[in-house]
This record gives sequence, C-alpha cells and structure tokens, in this order.
Amino acid sequence: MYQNKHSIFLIILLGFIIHKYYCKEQTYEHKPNKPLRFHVAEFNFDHVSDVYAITLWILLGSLAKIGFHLSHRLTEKFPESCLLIILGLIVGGLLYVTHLTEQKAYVLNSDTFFLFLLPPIILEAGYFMPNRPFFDNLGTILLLAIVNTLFNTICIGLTLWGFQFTPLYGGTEFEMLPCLVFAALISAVDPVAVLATFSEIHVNDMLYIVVFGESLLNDAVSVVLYRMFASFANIGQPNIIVMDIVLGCLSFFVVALGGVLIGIIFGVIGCFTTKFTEHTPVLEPLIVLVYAYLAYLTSEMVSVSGILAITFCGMVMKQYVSFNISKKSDATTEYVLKMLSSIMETIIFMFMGLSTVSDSHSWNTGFVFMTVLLCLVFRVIGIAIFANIANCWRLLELTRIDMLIMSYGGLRGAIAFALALVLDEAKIARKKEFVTATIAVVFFTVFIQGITIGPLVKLLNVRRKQIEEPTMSAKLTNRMMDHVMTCLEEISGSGGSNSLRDRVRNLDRNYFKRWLLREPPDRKDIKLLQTFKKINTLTAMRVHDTARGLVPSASTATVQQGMPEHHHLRSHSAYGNVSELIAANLPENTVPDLMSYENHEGEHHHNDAEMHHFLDTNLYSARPRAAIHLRNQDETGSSDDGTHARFEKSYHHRDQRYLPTRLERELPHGPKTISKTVHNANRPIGLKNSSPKHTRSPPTTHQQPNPRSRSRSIAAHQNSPIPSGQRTKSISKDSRISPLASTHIENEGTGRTAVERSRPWRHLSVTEETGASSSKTANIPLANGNDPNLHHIPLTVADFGGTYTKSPEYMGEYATTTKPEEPSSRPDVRDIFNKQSEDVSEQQDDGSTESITRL
Amino acid sequence: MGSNASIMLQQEDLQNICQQTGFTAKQVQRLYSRFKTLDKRDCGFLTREDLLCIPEVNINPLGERLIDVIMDDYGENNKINFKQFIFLLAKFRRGRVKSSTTEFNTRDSKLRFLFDMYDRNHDMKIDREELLQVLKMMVGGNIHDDQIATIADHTIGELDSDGDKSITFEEFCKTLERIDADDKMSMKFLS
Repeated sequence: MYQNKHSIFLIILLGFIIHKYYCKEQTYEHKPNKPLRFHVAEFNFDHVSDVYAITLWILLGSLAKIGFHLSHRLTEKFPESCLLIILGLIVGGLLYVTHLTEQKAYVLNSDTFFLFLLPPIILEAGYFMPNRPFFDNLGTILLLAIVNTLFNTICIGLTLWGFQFTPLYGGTEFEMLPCLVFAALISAVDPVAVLATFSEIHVNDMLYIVVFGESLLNDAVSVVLYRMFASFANIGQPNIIVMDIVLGCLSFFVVALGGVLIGIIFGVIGCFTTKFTEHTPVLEPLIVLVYAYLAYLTSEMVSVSGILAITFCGMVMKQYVSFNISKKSDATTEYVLKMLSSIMETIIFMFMGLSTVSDSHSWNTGFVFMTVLLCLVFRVIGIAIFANIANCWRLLELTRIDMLIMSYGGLRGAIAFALALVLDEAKIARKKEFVTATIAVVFFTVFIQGITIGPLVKLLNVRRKQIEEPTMSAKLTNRMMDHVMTCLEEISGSGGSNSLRDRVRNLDRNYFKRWLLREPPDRKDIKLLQTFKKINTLTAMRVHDTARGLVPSASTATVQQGMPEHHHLRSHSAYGNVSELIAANLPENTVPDLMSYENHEGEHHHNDAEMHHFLDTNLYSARPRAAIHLRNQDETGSSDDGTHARFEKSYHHRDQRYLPTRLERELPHGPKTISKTVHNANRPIGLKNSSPKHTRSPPTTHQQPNPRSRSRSIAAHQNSPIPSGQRTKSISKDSRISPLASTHIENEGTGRTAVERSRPWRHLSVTEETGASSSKTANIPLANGNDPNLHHIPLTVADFGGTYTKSPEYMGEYATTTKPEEPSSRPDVRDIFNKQSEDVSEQQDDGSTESITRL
Repeated sequence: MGSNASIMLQQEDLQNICQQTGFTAKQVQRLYSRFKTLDKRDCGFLTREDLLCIPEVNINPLGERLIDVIMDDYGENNKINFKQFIFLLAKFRRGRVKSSTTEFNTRDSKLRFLFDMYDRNHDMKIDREELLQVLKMMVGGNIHDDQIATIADHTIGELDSDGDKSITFEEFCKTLERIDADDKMSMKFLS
C-alpha cells in the first residue's frame, strides 16, 4: 500500500519535473545569442505534451486503483469512487497550487468526457447487461427512467425556483428556466456512479437492474429535457410558444427511439461483419469496439441519445457476435471492454475531484442545501409513487426495502457534472452556482450515500446477488420452468411475459440467428449446450489455475467423466481432415488432460522427469508413442484401457506419411527405454521378437543397413532430433501439439481410463472414424497392459507392415497372452496402420532412405 | 360440478373453488371462459388434442410432455374437466402475501410439478433415461445421442449426492434453492 502511494507520488512528481523543465525550455528558446548547433538529443516535450499528460493520467489512475486494492480495509469501508475523488482532489490541489490548472489536458473537459471517457463504460454495461433480468423488468425500468425522471426534473426545478422568493438564497435571483435546466441535469441518476457503487455492494440482480437500467435509459429523457430547457432559455421565457413544448415532447421520442434504432442497426451490421471474419480473427474484437463507438458517435452527430445507442449496440452484438467469433476473440473483447471501462471510470472520478479545485465556484449555502435536500426528497417520493404503480403489474413485487435501496441508490455523478460544465454562461447567469451545487450533490451522493449504502444493504438484509457458478441442473430446470410457464400461460389464456419471451425467442431463432450467424443453429436449445461448454471451460480453467499437486475441486469429477466423451462426439461431426479435427478438439482436450495430470500425478511421480527428458529429446520423432512405452512400464494393469487410448490416439493424430521413418527409428529405441526402467521377465521376449524381425525383413536393401551403425545413428538422433522437411510439416499440421500439448495427449489417456472402463463403447467413435476395425486382432494391445514389451511388439510388426509380412507365429504367440475380455469392442490400430502404410509405401521408402542417409 | 360445461358455473361451486384455490371469483370466471374456448366440442372436458391445438403449446419442445403430466396427474382417462383444470392452474397462482398461499401454490408443490415433468414413472426418482428423454426434447436437432448422454450424466453427477445415479426429489430441491422457483413458477392471472 505505502509503496504504491509512494510510486503514485513519484509519478506526479515526475510529471511536475518534466513540466517545469518544459516551461524553462520555452524561456531558453528566446535567448537570441545561442548559436545553432546540431544536438545529439533534443528535449521536445512540446511534441508529446498532450498525449504524455493523458498517458500519465491513465498510469496514475491505474496505480491508484492498484494501490487502493492492496488494502482490504480501505476498500471495504470506502467505495473506490470516493477514494478516487479524494485522490483527484489532492492532485487537483497540487496542480492548483502550482498553477498548472491552466493547462488544458489536466482538467475535465466535457468533450473529452462525452467522446472518450463515457462510451467505453456504457458499452461495457450494455455488453454485459444481464438480458433476462433487464427485459423481465423492462416495464418498471421504463416507468422509472421516463416518468420518474420527468417528475423529478419538474418538481426539483420548480421547487428550487420557488424558493428564490424566500430569503433562503440570500437574495440571489434564479430564473425559472435555468432552474429547470439545472434540474434536468441533476435529477438524472448517473450510470457511472451506480455501476461503481452497485458493483461493490452485490445486491440481487433484480434490484441492480432496476436502478442501473433506469440510470441508463433516463439518458434520453435528461438529454431531451436538458436540451429543451437550455434552448428555451436561449429563446427567452416570453417568446416560448406552445409549439415549442409540443416539439420538445416529440423530440423525446426521436431521441429515445432514434438512439435505440441506431444502436440496433450498428449492432446488426457488426454481427453481420463478424460472419466473415473467419480468416482474420485478430480483428474481431476491434469490430465490436469500432461499431459500437461508431454507433455512439453517429447518434451524437444526429443529436439523439448516444448512451442508448451504444447500450443497445452492445446488447445486440453480445447476442450474436459471441457465436461467430473465435473463443480467443471473445475473451479478448470482454477483457478489453472491462479494462477500458474500468480505467475510464477511474479517470472520470479522478478528474471530478481534480476539476473541483478551480476558481469557477460560487458557493451559495441555501441553494446547495436545497438542491441536495430536494434531490433526496423527490427521489424518495418518486420511487415510492412509481414503484407502487409498477407493482400493479409486477409479478415479483418491489418491497419497501427494495424501494428504499432504489431511492438511496439514486446516485448522481459525472454526467451531471459534465453537463453543468458546458452550460453557457452568457445565457445562464448562475452557471457558477449550478456547477457548485452539482458538485455538492455529486459528492454528497457518492460519499455519503455511496459509503453508507453498503452497510445499509447489510442492515436491511437485502437479498444479495448469489454468486453462483452455472450448473447444468439449474440451467436445465430454468429452461424447463420457462417452457412450462409459457405453455401454462397459453393454456390459461393469460398471456404474460413468458409467452412474449417465447415468441421473441422463436423470432430470434428463425430469423436473426439465421442471418447473423456463421452457422445458423439447427438445435433447439443452443443455450443449454452453451452452458455445458461453459461449465467445462470453467472447470478446465480452474484446474489450470490450481497449482500442481492441489486436488481439483469436487465438481471436476463429473466433468472428467463428461469431457472425453464430449471430445469423442465432436469427432463425429463433419471435420474434413484430421488436423482440422485436432484443431477443433484440442482446446477442449486440454481439459481432461490437465485434470488427469493432476489426478494421476502421484502415480507417475518418479517417472515424470524422465518422461519429460524423453519427450524433449524425441519430440519430433516419436512423441506420443515413445511416451507410451515409457509410461507403460510403470503402469499397473488397471490402466490398460488408458494405454490403449493413448495408443489409438497417437495414431489418430499422426500424419500417416511419416509413420514409417519414425517408427523405424524407434525400433531399436524400444528396448533401450525398457532397459532404463524396472521391468520383468517380458524383456527377453521383447528382444527376441525384435531381433528376428530384422533378419526376416528384406524389403529394400537401403532400408536394411548394418544394424550396428543404425543403432548408433539412432542414438545420435535421440540427442538431436533432425527436423526433416516432412517431419516439420507434420508438426505444423497439428500445430497445437507443442511439447507441452504432447504431454497432455499422452496424459489424457490415463485420465480417460476410468471412463472407458465404465463405458468402453464410447471409445469406438475415434477409431471408427479412421475406418478400420478388426475383431481378429482387436485385443492385443489391450491385453498387454501389464506388459510393455508385448505392447511394443505388435506395433513394430505393424510398422513394417508395408514391407514386412506378418508371421502367423507371432500372432499365435500373442494369442496365448491375450486375455479374452472385451472381444470385439476395440478395432486394432495395426490394421489401420497396415492400410495406411500400404497406401503410402512408396513414400515410406523414400522417407526412410532420406532419414537414414542423413543419419 | 363444473364439469358440465353447458351449465354456467354454479354459485356455490364458484365459492368452493375460490376458497380452495385462492382465486378470486372473477379469475375463476375468466378461466372458465378460457376453458370453454379450448373445449371446442363443448363436452365439458379437455382432451390432449384440445390442448395441442394451441399453437404455442404445439411448437413448444416440452408441450407434449406437459400435456402428459396434465392428463396423467391431474385429469383422468386423458381428459381433464374444469375443476381439475383450475386446481392445476392454482398451483401457479402467485401468493401475494403469505396468507394467500394455499395448499396448492406452495413452493414445494411447484417444484413437485417440475419434478413430475421428469419423473414419468412416479418412482420418485429421476433416472438417467428420464433425464435423457427430457433433454432430447429440449435440445432436439441433430445433436448426437452421446452428447446428450454426456450432458445427462453431468447433470446427474451434479445433483446426485447419494450416488445412486438418479435424482430424488430432495436432491432435486436442494440444488434449486438458489433459483427463485417460486417467482418463476408463478403467473399473473387476469381478473
């Protein structure tokens, strides 16, 4: 904490020094007698001053935020917004003392605010808007946003104006229209302040969305009222005709609906664009941001509500974009949005504190006091009236406590302040009083209400937001409730929100999804599947985040069960080739891998380092299979299925053309690895079996060099894998298999064992795809779970399948060791192999020649 | 009783129903007229086909299952008369205050209804097959059976606490505590 404070001040100091120096530089420039000389380096702060100041601001804001959050006690008691304002005040004071306030970049300017600071916050709010609660409460929100804001504006404006006839203001006169202008800006609840405060107190979704929705949607009303009254003030009170007022009311609809329309149009275009970004996924997050910003700017350009536009733009995009763009882009978009909005919010609050320290104030105790009081009183009254009206149709009624929190949560913020700053002093004489009163109200709401609302929520025992992870059962039951209620509403003939939602959903599925998504959904309930995926991803992330050796939480057990199946199923769908399939499946594959890695770590603990070393040196040549050998020797009989899984998988992933060379090299390698580790009487068999093979195999002469030299070359090869052209190609083809990923792959096998043991049939899908199954030799690899060498041998036979002939004796030998369990459930890889190697026998020869000669 | 549609709802029946279910007289009247609209053949009871005639129910993925539940558990012989009909709907009446909660519209009874949507063999357990059926109805499309099975397994894994690979009513309720089932399973009856 303290360290950070120090660094913050250091930054400020740095800024000052730079600035002072810069000022000095300017004075030096005027010295005439300095001869012109070449400068090695020039100090040119002028060149970057504005951007530099902004960047320093952002840095200061971020550091402040980091600093605040280092101390839990501080952030627990005070909302971040308060702390930021205080920091702003301090910095503002420093700037004021040093007379730097005249520099433009240091004060809040309402253009900066509306064009740069505000849009990201609102976009983030719109993008992450909880749609369901929002639309469920839309009626209440609209009532509060429109009618309540109107009510507040008129009441506050007129009452403030009315009090000028009393001696309360000390004789200062306030005209009616300026009072109404002021009321228009002060009565609107501020989304930034609400977001900042409510995100910390965690009230339930309904309450949050009602207050926050109101603060977002009242923008249209406050914009219209503000503009209307301001222009009335321009026209002058006596010159206003009825037509002006009628037009003012009309303009409300234009502003509100225009904003929504522009937002939706840009959102739809944005979604449509992402339909075609398949090949340029890096640009996807940008598309979202740019279209949303464009919507905001466009609506500001045609002077409709930009806040509504960008909110709806975000909401529309969220619905469709996340289906179109890649997972990475999706995460990036969300993260960038969060980052931008968080830093903008920080800067806004800091700027507010900063701008408070200035000369343009005129403190009028009576006026300030009345403003604060009236804001509070009319907020409470307004909520009481309109919440009760809303209760007439609401299913879940707003209780008294809800209403209290709603009125207490009516925070004012930076928007009001920025609007107050742009008041035209020529037309509105009391601008300074208004600015001061606005600041007073903002500070009052942010400080007093902001600090006390948290304890109040606790005290009144307001239902909190349940921070819950998505569970499949909850989602499923939720959907079921929706369906049931829709049906029942239809049956009972009392069409309610459920049937309306159902209709909208059908419309969405039938038309919008079809036009805007890359792959139109052919499933009825895509959300259900999405939830499932999300749960899996979350679990994966959690496992990934947990340190090695920690036991994953209980829920992973179910996922572990679920995931591999999921993976297998994916392979059913129409992926053209293997690499595509791998690419599609891998991100999810890592889920079970990691998990099994955690779970099975104990078993392989002593084997780990060895395995890693092994993988490192042999990665190009025999990634998955080499691991199988090694792993196999230490595995107990229980994991035989897992072995098999790895076995199949490694072939599945592999580019068939490179098999022969690699396997050939592996052949002498097999016994070598075996000798490294503890094992039993099977060893002689392994050796015995591998040696006759050599003698018997006479395919092409160059493929049969001096055994000794070959083994030597292999040993050399082990240390330095030679990336032959073909091999690197194979690596790039399944490019996601990095050294790490390969560990995953072979780990996955062990992870899967449990599932496979319980449901062996599931495994079929992978092998089926390769189109080869044989019942005759099916159980050979399976049976050798305990026996690494035996396991090794069928492979080598298979490796030479293209050139060597299989000897029946070998088969017989295997047959004796084969356990007759699960007879035909597993197709043999060897057959796949044979087939493949026959197909490419020519290439094989070439490939092997190449590798051998180079070795 | 109200099963005779040709006769207007008797006064004492009406009162009886209101008392038992908590509906207001107007609501009952309204539901009665709805009932008669659905009852196209004017025979005093609704059949499966009558309910399927409602287009929204017809296209709803769970529509048929719901009708199954209605007909089996609330009606008899694939028919449902008005009284049964109104007792069914009484389950979903929203209790404004605690006093207006009757034996019908408790949270428990609503959850029980949901549970029954799954549990069609009334063994008080949702087993894998039942869950699969419902999932298939909801997800539909060309999702592979195995994938649905995965989801079903996952769901059972989430809920099942005693490890019997099926979900009892208690297990079902426990995980739904966080959902406002009471609110979501309520509707506003026009009066």
